[in-house]
This record gives sequence, C-alpha cells and structure tokens, in this order.
Amino acid sequence: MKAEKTRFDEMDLSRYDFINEDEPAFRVEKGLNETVVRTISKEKDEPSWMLEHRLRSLKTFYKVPLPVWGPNLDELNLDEIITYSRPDSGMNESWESVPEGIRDAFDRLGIPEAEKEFLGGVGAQFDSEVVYHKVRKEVAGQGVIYCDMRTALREHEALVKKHFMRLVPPSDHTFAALHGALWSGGSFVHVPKGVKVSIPLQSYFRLNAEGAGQFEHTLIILEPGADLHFIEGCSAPRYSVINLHAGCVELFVGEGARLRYSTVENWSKNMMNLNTKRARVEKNGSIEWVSGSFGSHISMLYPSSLLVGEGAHSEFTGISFAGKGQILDTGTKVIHSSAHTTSSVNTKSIAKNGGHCITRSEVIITKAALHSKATISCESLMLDSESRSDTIPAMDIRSEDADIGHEARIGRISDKAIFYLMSRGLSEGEAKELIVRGFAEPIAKALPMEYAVEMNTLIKMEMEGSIG
Amino acid sequence: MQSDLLQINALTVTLEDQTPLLNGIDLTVKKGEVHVLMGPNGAGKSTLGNVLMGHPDYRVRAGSIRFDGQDVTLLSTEKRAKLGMFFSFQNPEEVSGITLENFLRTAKSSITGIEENVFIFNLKLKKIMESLHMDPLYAYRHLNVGFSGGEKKKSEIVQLLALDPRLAILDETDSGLDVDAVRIVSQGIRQFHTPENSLLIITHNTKILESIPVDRVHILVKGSIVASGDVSLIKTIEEEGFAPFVGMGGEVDES
Amino acid sequence: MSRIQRASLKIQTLPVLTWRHLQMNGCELDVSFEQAPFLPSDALLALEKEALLQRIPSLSPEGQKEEIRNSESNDGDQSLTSFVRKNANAGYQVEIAEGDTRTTPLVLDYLLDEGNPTLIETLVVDMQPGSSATLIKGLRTSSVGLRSFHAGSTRVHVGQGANLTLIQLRFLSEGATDLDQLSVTLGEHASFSLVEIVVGDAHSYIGTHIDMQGNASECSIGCMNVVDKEGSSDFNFHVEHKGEGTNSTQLVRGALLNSASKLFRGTIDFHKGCNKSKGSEDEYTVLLSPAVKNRSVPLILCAEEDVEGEHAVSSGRLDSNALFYLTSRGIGEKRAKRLLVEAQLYPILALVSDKEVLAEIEEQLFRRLDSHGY
Repeated sequence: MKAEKTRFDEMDLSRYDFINEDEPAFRVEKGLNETVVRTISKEKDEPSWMLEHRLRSLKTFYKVPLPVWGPNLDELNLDEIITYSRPDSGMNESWESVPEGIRDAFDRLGIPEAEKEFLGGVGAQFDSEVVYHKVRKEVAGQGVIYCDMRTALREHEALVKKHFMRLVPPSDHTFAALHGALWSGGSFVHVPKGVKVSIPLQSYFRLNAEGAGQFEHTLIILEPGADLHFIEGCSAPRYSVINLHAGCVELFVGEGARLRYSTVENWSKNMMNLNTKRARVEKNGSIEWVSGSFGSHISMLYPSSLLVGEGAHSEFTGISFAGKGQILDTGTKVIHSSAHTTSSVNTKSIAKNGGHCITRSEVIITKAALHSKATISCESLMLDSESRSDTIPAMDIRSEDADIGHEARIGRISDKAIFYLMSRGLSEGEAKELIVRGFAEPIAKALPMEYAVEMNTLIKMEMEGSIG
Repeated sequence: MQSDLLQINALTVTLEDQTPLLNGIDLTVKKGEVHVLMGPNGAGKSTLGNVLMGHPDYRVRAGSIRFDGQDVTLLSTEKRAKLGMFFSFQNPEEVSGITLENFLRTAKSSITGIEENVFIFNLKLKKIMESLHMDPLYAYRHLNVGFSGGEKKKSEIVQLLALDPRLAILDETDSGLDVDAVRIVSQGIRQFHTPENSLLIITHNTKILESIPVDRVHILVKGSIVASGDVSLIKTIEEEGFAPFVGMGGEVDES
Repeated sequence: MSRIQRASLKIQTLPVLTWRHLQMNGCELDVSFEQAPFLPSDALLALEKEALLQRIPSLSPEGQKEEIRNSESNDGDQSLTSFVRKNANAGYQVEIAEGDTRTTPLVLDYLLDEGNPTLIETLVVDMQPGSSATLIKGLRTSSVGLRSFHAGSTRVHVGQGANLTLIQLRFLSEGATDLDQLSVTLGEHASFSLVEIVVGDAHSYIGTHIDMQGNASECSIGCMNVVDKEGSSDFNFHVEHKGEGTNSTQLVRGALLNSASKLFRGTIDFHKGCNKSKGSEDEYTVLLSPAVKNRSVPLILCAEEDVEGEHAVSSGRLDSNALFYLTSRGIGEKRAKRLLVEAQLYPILALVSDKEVLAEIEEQLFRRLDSHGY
C-alpha cells in the first residue's frame, strides 16, 4: 500500500500553524525570559490579560522554527535586540553615530531639524505633538478614536481585547510570536458606522520613544460603511541601532467599509524588516494596499487580505527598489473564501547594484469562493547584471467558476527608450531615472502628494546610490 | 397573428446588478418584413439584439419575447437558434482551434438534427462564399482568427446563408466596411430575404439600407423606443440626425 | 513469486522555495511496487520500430556514453535518478550519428499489464552534432484499475546544431503511479522540443530539467494535460538559460474533470551571462467540475539584465463570449464547451505531426470528454 505524505488537502483558512517539537531556533544567552517580559508589561501598566498574552507568545517563540524559504536571517542578533528592548536600556546614541549617508538623505529630503534626531534614532521623542493633537481633535469630532496603543489599551480595553492579535496570532510565525511578547507602541484607530474620515491619518504623527517603532502594533477597526485612508511610515530613512523591525498591522474592514493603507518604508540599510500586515474584509468591504519599499537590509513583507465576506474586494499596488546590499522579499497574499470576491495585484520591482528583489505572492480560491475573480500582474526591472530579481507566484484554485489571470514580466530598460530621451537632451543617468520614475508611477499616484514627491526624490537618490 | 414572426411585448431588461438597459420595448416583425432599429450610441440597440438571442449577462425583468408564436423569453440560446433565430455580431469572436467550416457544419447538424455530409456541405459552403466574393480558403482558417473587420462581417453573412434561419438580427453589419464590402453584404442580405424570412437590422448608419426594401423603422433612445414609422423616418434621420428624438427616452444608463 | 518493495523519494523540488503551508515546495512520496525481473520481457515492449534503439544490457555508468555521464551532474533531482539506477528493469540507449537527419520517428512503447505491472526504466539519447530526429515514447496501461508503477529517468544530450523532438505519451488509467525525470543538456545552436501528452486518470509526477549551456540553443515544451476521476498531474519544468541568446517557451494547456487535480511548477531561470535570452511560460487550465484542484507556481528567476522573461497563467471557466457565439449558432451548450476545450488544447495537438499518434491522442481525449457528456 503506498501512502503519500503530501496530499492535496482542503485549504483551512486558519491553518497557519508552524509549531513543531524540534529544537528551538534560538538559544538566548542574555536571556529573553519571563522576567524581561514581565518588566515590560509592568512598566506599561497593562491589564493582566495582556501580560498573559505576552508570556504565551514567549513560549510560542521558542517552539516555532524559522522559515525554510526566503532570505538568510543569520545576521539577526537577537540578544542585542532583547537587551535594547528592555525599558531600562539606554538606546540613545549620539548624532555622530548616525551613518553619514543617512544624515545627507535627511538634508536632501528637507527633513526639519526636529525630526532628524528622532529619525536618526538619537532623539527620544519627536515633537509632532502639535500636529498629532490637532488631527486627533478634528477626527474626534466625527466620532473617530485615534490614539496610540498604550492609550487604547487603557481607555478602550474591550475593543482592543476583542481584536488584538486575532488576525495575526503569535503561532503564525517566529516573528509574530516575538512581536506578541515584546510589542510596544503603535496606532489605534476606530471609525464608527458610516463615517468617512475627513483626512488621512498618519502613524508618523504620533511616534514616540516607545520601542522606537521596532515592535509597533497597529490596530485599525472600521465599522460597517466606514471609510479611512491610513498612512504608515515615512520616506525618510529611519536609522536604529536595533536592527530588527518586527511590527504587526491588523486591519478589520467591516461590511461595506473601505480602507486604504499606504506605506512608504525606508528603514536604514542595517535593518531587517519583518513586518506582518493582514486585513480581514467583510461583506462588500474593500481594502487597498499601497506599498513602497525602499529601505532595509533584508525585508520580508507580505500584506495579506482575507476576503471572508461576499463581494469583498482587495487591491494591492506595490513597488520595491533593491539597491546594494539589499534583499527585498516582498509580495502579497489574498485568500478568497467567499463568493463574488475580487482581487487585483499590481507589483513592480527594481533591482540595481547587486540588490536582490523577490516578488512572492499567493492567491487562494477556496471551494466556497464561487464567481470570484483575481488578477495579478508583476513587473520586474533589472538595471544591471550584478542584481537579481525573482518572481515566485503561487495559485491554488478549488472553485470551478473562478476567474484567475496572472502575468509577469522581467527585463531591462529598453535601449530605444533611453536613446529617445537622450536625443531630447537628457544624460543617460537622467534618462534612466525618468524611466524608473515612470515605472513607479502607479504607486506615486496612489499616495498623498507630499509622499509622492518624497518618493520621487528617494528614487533619484537610489539611482545615484547615495543613501547610506 | 400567424404572420407574426417576432413579437416583443413590454420588454424590460437590466444587468444583474439592476442597472436598467431596456424599458418596455414593444416591437412586432411579421414574416417577410424588414425592420430597422436605429438610435444614438449607447441607446441599447446591441443590447436588444443580444437579449433577443438570450445572452447570459442580461436579465429580463418584465415582458416577453415570442418567436413564431412560441414564448422564448426564458429559452436557452441554442434552442432559440434551433427555432430559427440568427444574430450577426458587431464584433465577432475569434475562436482559434476550430475552422469556420467545421464550426458551421457542427452548427447546421445541431440545428437540423441531421449529420451533414462533409463533402456536400463543403460544396454548399464554397458556393456561398464565392457568391459573396470571399476566398473559399477562409473556410479552413480558424474561426475569425486574423480576419480583418470586413472579413469578419462577411463571415457572419456566410454563416447566415449557410444556416438558413427565419429571422436574422444584424448588429451593425455595415460598420467598418468599405463601399465594395457594403455592396456585397447587402447582396447577401437580399439573398436571405424571402416572404418567409424576416430581418431586424440594427444600425446607426443608413448606407446599407439604400438597396433593401424597408417596412418599418424604430428609433431607440436611452433604452426606450421613442418613435416608429415607415421608411421616410430614415430620411428624417439623414437630414436632422437623432437630435429631435434625444431627450425622449427613459431613465436608462447610456454606458 | 514477487516481492513488494518500498522506497521513499523526494522529487519535484522547486528551485526556490515558497511558503510551506502551500505544500508546493516539493513532493515526499512513499512508494511501493512489485519487484520485477531485471531484463524486460517481450511483453513489456509492445513495439520496437527501429534498430537504432539498443537495449542497455547493464545500466552501470560504463554502459553509457561519456558525455551523457557528465550530464548526470545537471540532474535537478538526484533522488529519483538514483532510485531508477538502483532498481531499473529496462533501459534503452540511442545515438544519432553526426549529420544524420532522420524523418521517420523512433518509437519506444511500454505497456504495463497484469504480467508486468512494474516498469523502472532508463533512456539515454545522444544527438551528435548536426543530427536530427524525433523520438516518440509511449506509456500505456492495459486495463483500468490495474495497480501499476512506472519510474523513469531519461537523459538527453543534444550536440552542436542538433535537433531532437521528444514526444512523450502517457495514457494511464486509475491505479497507475508514474514518476518521471527528464534531464536535457543543449550544446551550441542545439534545439530540443518536448511534447508531453498526459490523458488519463493516474497519478503522474513529471519532472523536466533543461540545461541550455550552448549559446543560441533553444527549447520548447508543449504540454497537454487532461486528467479525469481522482487522477493528478504534478509537473516540474525547470529551464536554465546559461548560454547567450538562448530561447525557451513553455506552453501548457489542460482540462480537469471530475475530482482531478493538477500542480504546475514551471521555472524560467536566467543565469548571469545569458545575454539576449528570452523565456516564456503560458499555462491555461479549464476546470470542468466543481471538485477539481488547480495549482500553479510559475517562477521566473533572473540574474541577468539583458533578457526578456514573461509568463501568463490563467484558470477558470471557458470564455463566456465565445460560448455565447457558439450557442447562438444552435450548438448545444455542452457541445459548445467541448469545442472550446478542444480549441484550447489545439496548440499542443498541432505539435504532433504523426497521424497515428494524433489519432490515438484524440481517441483518448474524446472518450473522456464523451463520458462526461461534453
């Protein structure tokens, strides 16, 4: 009797379980142990259920193995990370320790003095308080709750408890578990029924010293019919001595609600960006991801959409630009588990100077997702032969009448296009930059103007190879 | 009543999401008659043609369609074809992997219920194509693949003559054709037209009607028939365009 | 007295892994089969049209040509190949001499039946420079439900300016397990065409690794996959562009009926230095039943700037506009669907010029479509 170890099993939506009984991935010398976690929780004055959640996550962290796929994460120095995560650690270095390239970038991007220090990981607090409070007040008038996670835990405990790490459970993967134990800081937004939030909310406004954003948790809840545009991150390079960013973003999009989540990510080149973002979309709701990845040494970023309600919709537009020494492994996942759901994915990647771009995607159509439609389009641009670009899409379709179309293209900037632009007076470098900017245009279009302008500047700097 | 070939009564049609398209259409075509349906772009003319043939994207919300006394409102597309209805498409599909000849022979066999003799059918087809000045070798090319606009339209008329239906609904058969092609297509239409066969010609251009005897003209604006009259209506449109009729239609999406 | 043998195999591994939960990274199979006599009995070989096909008396490396042996290291999957080497009970090798261009195809047919339900075979093809040939390899089962096992390892070397067309036919019924690994190396200006025809209800795992070492070499894979009942097809095509100016195309067309499933893994792999190379992948599978499972992982790996790579994968129902066109001409819905399914498969059928083979493929195909009322 032959038995196959791997069979084509029915996809179980909640099946993200990686736990096994093998040796733990990390042996931590300096000790990520209960004590550290308890101290963190105490310092934040958290309710007991949160402390228990942290402790459970810690246990899970030791059991879940690192992924077998993707970039090599050997450079991760967990001990140092743990040390610096302790609330009593002195994280602030001096301005001189910030790499020169980064300091220059701040100037090029026109970052105000006040922000520079914070972004350089030197300042304890970024004085955007004024802006932040102004925005808070304006949307509060609409009934919107917009505050940091610490405040949310204090003032809206029930709401937080109901949703916190339900979408991304600690058992999901190693860094979700680590996040569950060490999370600190982040934004909380709750939009009541039918409210269209008048201005885009930005995580950038209310950054503070808490964890300096390393283990930020963003939780956004949209009641039925609500509408919000949220912007995460900023174009300026963010430097930190802790080289891991293991944040988590959980988005709950209610019936008929609409959420646009934009990110421009430019962590400095010593960072490992292992952020987990997931959205759950109810009936007729829609999520729109807009994502620009420019920074980090290693990135593993896959915003995911779970289309659980009929007629739910997901859209993903993203660009990643990998330069020297960067491995950007990004993409998206969409799971259609209800009828009449639709999704579209549009990714672009650029690899240069030995950079490595990996575009990884997953589209799953379960048996229940009748009359669903998914289109995926991936375009990759190679600017030289030192770099690498890989496209790894996967499709799993279990419904007969679903309509899936996927296409991908890889290549270089056409010589004809360069010649044409040069014949109009541009230098080769300028021509290439213009073409690359055109390549990134769909993303620029979806961002608020200041971000779009900054993104173009970023591209310019990346093309010159001048960011540190 | 027996002489009525096509009877459309109070036909109201929407898309699945309730977007209105046609509003209370009344139209009767007797045997041997030639009716013309005209109107500005977006009025719903092609939609009516597709609905008469049972296109799955449209929903009949009220009213009925009767063909030769039989209610076909909910009948499947192929059954309507078998009863003798034919629809010539504005933008015929290209279907590679099936030759025009094979396709037509399969269709003919399906309609009559008798397997067509390959040899005899090929001869018949060749004759039809030659009478329309169409290279008979096109019969062995894949259905409409790589055909020019004019060749596609001719292919539709070839099919009309080969399948020998009773009612031919022609959607913009003349659009995009040069003068010679229009002449040939008109000839094909005349060949088809007998005291037993009827035509419903959908067009917004009057050129093709010059050589065909028209019995009745209907103007469709925004999903409703706003005027019906005899052949002199065509002259009015030639002189004044659709302007006098626009603004008379119902509440229907023009897209 | 036949003994039941077992083995654990690791096959169909993706060159670059993806998320584990998708279960697409590779296959770990435990297989069991009846031990079969070493040399093939005549019953195994239904037809041997050409004297050029020599039986491999022993399957040791000495019995094979030097170049072929060197190409062993290019094998994408050591596991199946070593399994076949250890357990083979049949094997053929063929060498087409320099400049020899033959128009009559070589035919190698295997039949799995009650007396010989196990076939573990190897095939070695050496195309000398400037030669050209077509080889048709068929794999069939004699009866429905027969528990049979096939594992095959084929090595092909196509020398400079040479040209090989390999047509692999698989008409296997329920109860058959079919594992196959094909490794091909191409010299300069060499070309290789693979036509892979799978029509059946068996479980097939077909791996193909093409190493385009030679500049200006070309390869094309045309695969038609029609699976019925509880059958499954698992393809792993890995095309490596190493030489300059190399070209590859992968065209996969299929239909899934009943509770069948399919996993297509196709990789276009551009190595640094393969300037001016082009690779494309096009896969379309029609799903004709609510219980089917359709999975695809089309990879493009690229380390060279001056290339063009593209792929298109689509799945789902038949084009509703095309369907309407056909039914509007009086063709019944099921018949119209069948015409469209046939139209989809047509580009692959067009690659088979041998009339007898084409007739057999059509018979197998039509029988299955007929049985489902199409």
